[in-house]
Amino acid sequence: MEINLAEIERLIGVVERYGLTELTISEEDVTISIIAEPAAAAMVPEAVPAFYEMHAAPATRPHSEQEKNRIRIESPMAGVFYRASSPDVPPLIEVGDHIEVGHPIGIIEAMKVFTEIPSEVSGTVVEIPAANGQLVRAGDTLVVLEIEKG
Amino acid sequence: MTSATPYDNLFHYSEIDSTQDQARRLLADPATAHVRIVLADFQTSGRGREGRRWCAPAKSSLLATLVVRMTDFSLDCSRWLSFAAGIAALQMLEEIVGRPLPIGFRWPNDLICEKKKLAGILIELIPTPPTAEPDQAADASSQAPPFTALVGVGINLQLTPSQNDPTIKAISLKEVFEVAGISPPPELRSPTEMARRLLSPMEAEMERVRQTGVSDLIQRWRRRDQSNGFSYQSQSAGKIITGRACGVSPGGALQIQTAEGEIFTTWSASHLPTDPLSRSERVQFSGNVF
Repeated sequence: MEINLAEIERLIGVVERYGLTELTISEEDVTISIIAEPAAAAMVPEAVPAFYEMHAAPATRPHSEQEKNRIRIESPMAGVFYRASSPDVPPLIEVGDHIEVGHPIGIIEAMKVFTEIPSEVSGTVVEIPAANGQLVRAGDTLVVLEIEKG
Repeated sequence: MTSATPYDNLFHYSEIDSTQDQARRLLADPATAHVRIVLADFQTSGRGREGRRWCAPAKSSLLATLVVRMTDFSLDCSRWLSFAAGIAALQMLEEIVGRPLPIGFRWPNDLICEKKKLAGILIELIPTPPTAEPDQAADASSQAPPFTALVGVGINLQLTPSQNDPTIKAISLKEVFEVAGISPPPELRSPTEMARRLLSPMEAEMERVRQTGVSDLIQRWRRRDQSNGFSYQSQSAGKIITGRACGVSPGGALQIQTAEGEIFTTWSASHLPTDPLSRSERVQFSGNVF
């Protein structure tokens, strides 16, 4: 395999297009690994302290300038999103539900660790963009809440 | 549940639905929120990945949930608790025996011997209930909400092949000792003692993830990694990749090589007890995997 900038750029494009976090290509004695997720790459010791501060909790952001009473809850991590704790129980939330701070909005699984994601705000669920069983990355919107106008 | 025996922070049941579920219930009750270990002789609804059931005849296995507090812990590091738990379980066994055992890891944290499963671990990370964190409200300065890890551990102590699910290649701790040519020490005949001995390394390994990061953790895990060659499936929203483990990325993600030779890296995959590639099944892929 010939290594040149154009080939590497092409591989980066593949990573971005398919939403991959890592891509490894091996041919003869050459191996190229592209790691798209900063969080994974940051797991070398020197980057860990800042990383902890950046992702201490699920992020909540205003949904848009036009809808300031809407908050989107972002995924704090990469993994598979589940709306229920097991396949045979109801989802943790549904559109229209009013939830309080701390109410679980979903579960994200990675490496057999199931992390329950709590809501950081109270409000009414107006949208659940993340589908059950969907792969999500850090920063993806999981749920949109409408908060009470104060 | 029957015959609960709570003393200090260990709650032992002769029969219960799931030690994971019972740990949640105990944490939610102020009277029992100090729980650290939930132990069962038999589970009626033991849990595995993707809703799978973990079944074992009474007293054939160590079935426990360890409750580990994770103050100031980043959720984005939660996946690596999986490696930490596997390392802690192996460390507990080897410390009791006082020598290395012929046990390795199958990604992410199965303990295996001679390519057969000895132990499985599943972790649930939940916000610590207020009942279990009475000072939580007063500590408004804390940036990260406190989380609690419920570490479900199942170790096959003496399950025989005839008792076992024939599709799962399992091995008991008793057989591991036979392979190693050593006599099992008394501590390893007592699930209660094993669970108690497991709590300390589990807390220590998880605290180590928080304090020092994961590069050291991954290096130590790699030394006992025996995942290569096992069949795995990664699946999400209709996208399925089936292949054989061919390595672990620098960040600890599993690398799967398909029958076509493509290598994909994923944070979420299930080991397949049977080997679909040997049956020449079609490999399906439509992009977007981790």
